[in-house]
Amino acid sequence: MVCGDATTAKTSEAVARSVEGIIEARPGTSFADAVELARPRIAEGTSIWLLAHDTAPHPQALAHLAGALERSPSATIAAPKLVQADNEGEIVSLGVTMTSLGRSVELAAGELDQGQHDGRDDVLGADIRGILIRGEVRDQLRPDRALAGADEGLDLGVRSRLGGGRVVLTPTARISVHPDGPAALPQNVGQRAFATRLAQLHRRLAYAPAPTVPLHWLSFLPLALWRTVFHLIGKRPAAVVPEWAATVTAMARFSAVARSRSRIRSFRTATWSSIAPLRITRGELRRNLDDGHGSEGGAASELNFFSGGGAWAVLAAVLVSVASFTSLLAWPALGGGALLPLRETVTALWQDAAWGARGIGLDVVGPADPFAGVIAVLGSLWPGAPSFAVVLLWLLALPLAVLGGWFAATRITDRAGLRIFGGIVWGLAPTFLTALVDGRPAAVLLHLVLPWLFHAAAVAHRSWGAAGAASLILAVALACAPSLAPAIGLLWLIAMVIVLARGWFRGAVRLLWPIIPALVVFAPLAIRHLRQGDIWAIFADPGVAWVGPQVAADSAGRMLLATGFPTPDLAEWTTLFGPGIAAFIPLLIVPMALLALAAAVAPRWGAGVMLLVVALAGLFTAFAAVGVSISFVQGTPVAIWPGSGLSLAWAGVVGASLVTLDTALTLPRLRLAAVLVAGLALVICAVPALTALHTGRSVLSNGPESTLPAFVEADAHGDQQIATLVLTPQNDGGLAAGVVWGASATLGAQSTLLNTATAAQGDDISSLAVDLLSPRTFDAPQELAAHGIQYVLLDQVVGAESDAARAFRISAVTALDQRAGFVRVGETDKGVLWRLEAERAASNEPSRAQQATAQLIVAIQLFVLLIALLLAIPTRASRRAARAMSRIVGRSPEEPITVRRRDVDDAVAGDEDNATPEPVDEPTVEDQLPVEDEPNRAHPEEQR
Amino acid sequence: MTQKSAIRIVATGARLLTGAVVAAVCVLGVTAAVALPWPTVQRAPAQVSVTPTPGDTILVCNGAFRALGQDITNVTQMSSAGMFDLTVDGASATAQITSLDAPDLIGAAGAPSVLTGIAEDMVSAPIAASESISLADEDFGGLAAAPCRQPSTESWLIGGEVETGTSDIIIISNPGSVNASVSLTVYGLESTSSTMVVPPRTQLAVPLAAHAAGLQQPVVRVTAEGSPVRAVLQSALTRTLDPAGIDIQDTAGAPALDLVFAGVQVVADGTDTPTTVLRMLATDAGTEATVTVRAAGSGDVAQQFAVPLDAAIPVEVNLDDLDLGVYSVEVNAASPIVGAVWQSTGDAGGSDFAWMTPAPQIADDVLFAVPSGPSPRVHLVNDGAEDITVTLTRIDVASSRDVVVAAGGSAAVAVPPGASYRLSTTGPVNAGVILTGANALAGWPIWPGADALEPITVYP
Repeated sequence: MVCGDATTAKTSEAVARSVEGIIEARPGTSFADAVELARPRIAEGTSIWLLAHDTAPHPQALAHLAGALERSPSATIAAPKLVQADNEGEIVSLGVTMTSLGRSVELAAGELDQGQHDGRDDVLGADIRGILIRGEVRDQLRPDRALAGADEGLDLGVRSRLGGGRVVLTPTARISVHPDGPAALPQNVGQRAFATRLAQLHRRLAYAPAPTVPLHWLSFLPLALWRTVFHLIGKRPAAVVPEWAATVTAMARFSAVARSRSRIRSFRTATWSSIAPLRITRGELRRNLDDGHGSEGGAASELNFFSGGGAWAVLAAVLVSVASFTSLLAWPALGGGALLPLRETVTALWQDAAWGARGIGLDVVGPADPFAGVIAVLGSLWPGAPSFAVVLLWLLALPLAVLGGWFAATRITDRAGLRIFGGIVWGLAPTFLTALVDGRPAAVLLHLVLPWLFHAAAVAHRSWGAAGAASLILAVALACAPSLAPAIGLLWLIAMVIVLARGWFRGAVRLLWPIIPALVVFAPLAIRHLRQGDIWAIFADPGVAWVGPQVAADSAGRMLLATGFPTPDLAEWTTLFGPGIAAFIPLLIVPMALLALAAAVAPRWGAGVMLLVVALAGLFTAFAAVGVSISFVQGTPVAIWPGSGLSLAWAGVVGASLVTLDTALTLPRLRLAAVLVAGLALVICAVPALTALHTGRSVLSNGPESTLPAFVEADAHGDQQIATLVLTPQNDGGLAAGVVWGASATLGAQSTLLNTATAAQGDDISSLAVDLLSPRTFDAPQELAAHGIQYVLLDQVVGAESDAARAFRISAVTALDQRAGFVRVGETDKGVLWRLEAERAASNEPSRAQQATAQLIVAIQLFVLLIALLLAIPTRASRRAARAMSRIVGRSPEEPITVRRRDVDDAVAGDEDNATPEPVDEPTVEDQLPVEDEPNRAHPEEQR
Repeated sequence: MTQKSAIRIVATGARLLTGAVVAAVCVLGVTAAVALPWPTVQRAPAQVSVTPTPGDTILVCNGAFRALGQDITNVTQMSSAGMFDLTVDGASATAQITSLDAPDLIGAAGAPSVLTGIAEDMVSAPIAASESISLADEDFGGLAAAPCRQPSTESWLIGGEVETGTSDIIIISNPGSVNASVSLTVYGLESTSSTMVVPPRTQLAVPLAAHAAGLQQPVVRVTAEGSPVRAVLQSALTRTLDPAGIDIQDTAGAPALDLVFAGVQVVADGTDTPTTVLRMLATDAGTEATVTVRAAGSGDVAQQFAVPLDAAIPVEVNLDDLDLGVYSVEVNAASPIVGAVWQSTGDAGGSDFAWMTPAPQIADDVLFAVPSGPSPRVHLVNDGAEDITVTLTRIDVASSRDVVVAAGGSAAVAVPPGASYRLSTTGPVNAGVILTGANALAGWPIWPGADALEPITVYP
């Protein structure tokens, strides 16, 4: 048989001498088809020996096979021992069986041939290559063409068994095979997954008792879904598409199934139970299972979190945190700054995170801020009282920052001391402490997740697990600070260019994934903002727009930003010591800056330069952010918080400093001195901020548990859909009118749709609000109740109130007092409250179209996030793969090799792989290590 | 080996050079970024300008001139010394007149009245009214006149006196249907505050001396909660035993940076005793007020000077050396102030005085009523940069006249007593009504009508 052009074969005399005839077939002909084509040419009654061009029988192989058939009359098929063509000591196949569920299992594949399996005689099936089929049954035992290249030998064995024949192993008959022949499984991972899965499903339909076939058929789609989940957890996203393709193909081939079944029926004489003894049992399967232990090749780079002192640093941070925020231990909720309570129930938290009616404003239906999802996750951690989760976040912020910093440092250094230094310096970042003291939850969360983003994204090209983790963390980070999107996008592009320039195409594919969840969660919001014509609004800080302290958009402000401080009070120094002393405080950052700059000349300069680029990207983001005023609170513009950009910049600075300390400062004393100077300077710098709460300089306050008066809170308890109209006379004589749903204004309910609005959103309440305060006589309670409003609260501006605002407020109180149907509940510290004597209309049910949109968007977002989550779940195999290579990214051959015993292996491995220096954020050549195949070993079904 | 080490030296050198360049570029880049201007993105917040829908026009008139301490056995008891003459007119609707209780007033006569112009189809029914009284008995003598005004939640009574011989009464009328809780804050060298409750549809009066005893130049802020009230200050002066004038003083406007007084009259020579005095109060923060006095008819500045003001302490300055005539006074300050001008016909017995409060700017049509009294005039002040034409149209009789007021100038126009006018203007104007006679002085500014509600900016 020649598949393709047979001209050469026809003219060859050597071929002509040895063959009876030449059959020319189409190039794509499968092995089973070829056998079928050649069968009529073979004389009746002769046995058939199946060979392909890649099979090289050893001398006497045919004699041994024929002898086996002669020796045992019950044998219908004799199977040889297949060995690697280039390494004849390694077995490719010696007998195949299947599990009770029909999965094919190789009995000896991949093992070194030491004769350990030579005693085996009776098997269920064998690889189709090289088998000798007895002439009497060869018409019945034809390879099934529907199997498409996999499990054909196993199928023949099963059918022969059912017909009363046996498959005998003939280990003495050896045949060398190449892995890429026409009868072997495809080399391509996807094709192989398709072929094996299709063969398995087809055999299941062919072997099953007739009544159960429809049930099997029905079970295929759910099974495919189930297996997709496991493919993702097993970090094999490439197997997902073949899985579905195989499932759909197997389900569609009714005639092939019928043909296979009739062929079995016509030959079957024995019962199905006759093959049961030859199936592999669970016990044997477990014995055969290779869990991959030891595959690290001795290059295990352990984390040493406990032995390296990382745990002690975190513990110390817990103590510092408790000492600094002692009063928080007794607080049930946190207030002040940009902090608000959370919803009272977890359900409401998640409703806020989904597309639908927003928790503020009248009839504002649209996408949620992704940050609402982060808040929902945070609140769900303490389901009984979600607001307390924020208190816990504040208490654990310092230790979590140190922990994150420590883990991020493992990507740069193996030295235990430097890792601890990295963790502590990350936790003492001035921008982080400012965010803690000023009560900025989004900025605090961002600073906590950024090191993990660094930790995962730096190796996203290496493994799917890291890419999955990076994708989730990136979505969270951007949800907390959308203003970082341009900088992150730029860094991602640089990473892509580096990966592609080095030809790591698999790494590039993995690097594509991390941005996808972030794009998907932001897409609805971005589309809405685009429709409203202002894409800038997508960069607005989520949560409450708060007119808090932050530097101005001028040179002086940018100077402060360049020194790492996002506020003019320099992390509380100005308030504590006055501007005279505070002017020198930026000098405390200088040691870090110098260390970071030195990374450009350090031996690992590639990583150093990349980290400096990260620092610059963050810094320039902060520079730009202070000049972008797109959020408003009661008509007052609020610029983007520049501290988020500074967090990114700090990541670059800390990373670059660690590169310098790890590779450039080789004298231990010099390194120690540098660490002490830089660390102590930052500790001193942090003192005013860490003592701010005790000395009353922080805006953090105990609660309130609701921003509305207790009467409303009690009435709307359990997040009932009761709306309160909040009117605030402004200092310029204007009036801010807002609607709050539920028992309190909450963090998750805030929406940038309203915070960034340049035109009224939803139902415009403005005219109604003004008419309430005007002398006009109308049925005000009824009109308000029709919108679902039950309460009217007249609030006072925060800070000094102007005469105009005060006069307006007093006249408003008078006007509302005089309205019929307005029952004054009382004057509280949160304003004057009236209750409406009117039947409140049920809150607007979303329309059918809105419900459909909401379901679609939520489904898509959950689907993508689920994929990311499944990819991110660590498995034993993925952890082993991570251990198998250096944790450090971007090693350069120029850097000095550390002499510590444990590091030697790492360094050698790294030097071999890293022929060229490379940036830290980006891929390394470690792709060549066996990491890709690693996860497969835990799942033998994917192996041949 | 040598070649290898040479390569290494070159490589290391190149690395150090490149690294140094990169570090320098970083530093220079950041420095330049700090120094150079960055583009900014500024968005305007969502805002809606809403003009409140007008409601019924409610005007409160005083009813009776109150006499305090007529009964020696009960010095705080008040009785009616006479009724005001009322002039009422409405453009489209006739006013409904109801009366208020005055439980602390002895004598059945003199119930204060409330005039209501009922709005229909969300269009206000403008009405105007004013009242005047001329007394000449042994206790009181002189002319007092005031418009009937809408109640408000905040009133400023500037020209109070508690010296011997003065008898000042704060009269508070609550035309609403609920209690008004009224706070009286007295500004002086020291501030005091007290609260009283005015029942619905009731007028109450309190002697100023009861709240501002011993204070020089007290200024009173009246704030009402629950229901807006009309607060006026009724003054009577006795020199030795002779009556020396009566006045009824309306609320001054809300504290503002610029005050314009129209119709300030100088009717006696102020060389020996001051006859024209400006009283001011910076309500919020200390500031310096610039006072500019201009004579009617010309735009020339008659006087200009600066007065330092401390926060919350009233200050008086004399406007002397002015020729007889009608003047406009402008006061400009950097923080909000209130003020009023005292005018007197002299210090002899039988003289009269009047307080003039600042005139708000009028841009839309407004109705006003001229009470009966001696030689009423309307003083029109244009402090803008362009000439304006003011049209005065009589409502009761079909006649109208145009008055051109030059930029920065003012004009005084004689009008018949007991008439009602509609004032229309081509530009912003400040106006006052003045009555001048022998030992008779009265005046008040014209306020925009109820239908001229300012639009309110709402931030949704």
